[in-house]
Amino acid sequence: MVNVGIHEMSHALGFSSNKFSMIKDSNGNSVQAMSSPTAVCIRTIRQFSLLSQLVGTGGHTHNVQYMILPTVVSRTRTHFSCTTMIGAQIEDGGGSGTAGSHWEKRVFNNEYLTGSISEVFVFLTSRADC
Amino acid sequence: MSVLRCLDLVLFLTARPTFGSTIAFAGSCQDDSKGRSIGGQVNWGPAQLSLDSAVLGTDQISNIDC
Repeated sequence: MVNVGIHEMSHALGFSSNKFSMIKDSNGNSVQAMSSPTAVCIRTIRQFSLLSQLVGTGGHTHNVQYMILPTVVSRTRTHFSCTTMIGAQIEDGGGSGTAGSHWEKRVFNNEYLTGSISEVFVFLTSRADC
Repeated sequence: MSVLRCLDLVLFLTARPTFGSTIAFAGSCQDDSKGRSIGGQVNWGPAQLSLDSAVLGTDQISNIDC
């Protein structure tokens, strides 16, 4: 129950697809380069078209979104010990309230901002060395 | 609203029914001039609320829709 409360509070504070374009840097400045709404989205969320290699699919492309904010990229790379990760993949499954506003469950499993929750969860930012 | 002027965030906590496996949902509903959230809502499905601490010990996995 506490886990759910922490999760929901994060949404109320702005972890939501309709707020990602308003994310500020540590100085309180917008991360957008220009006033173009398109630029805002590009600076925080980037979409890629990837080839699915799932067995049985025969291979097909689908669009995948990543949050590419510098700190998010850094923490994600540290967590997975992978220096080439694009960023933190955004959930594309579930209903309109789930897709787009959570980390990808398949990648982040029980991280507390995935779209479903389990008794024990972890924080992407919890490692003391980053 | 003057009573609220020293607060960082006003959070509206509601308990309206949720559907399916959704436990709760939440969002920001008011921004300041910088785009920061100063008002939000959390809705917690009443059917998901329990005072029985044993519930916390289960391995239940449910969706949080939002």
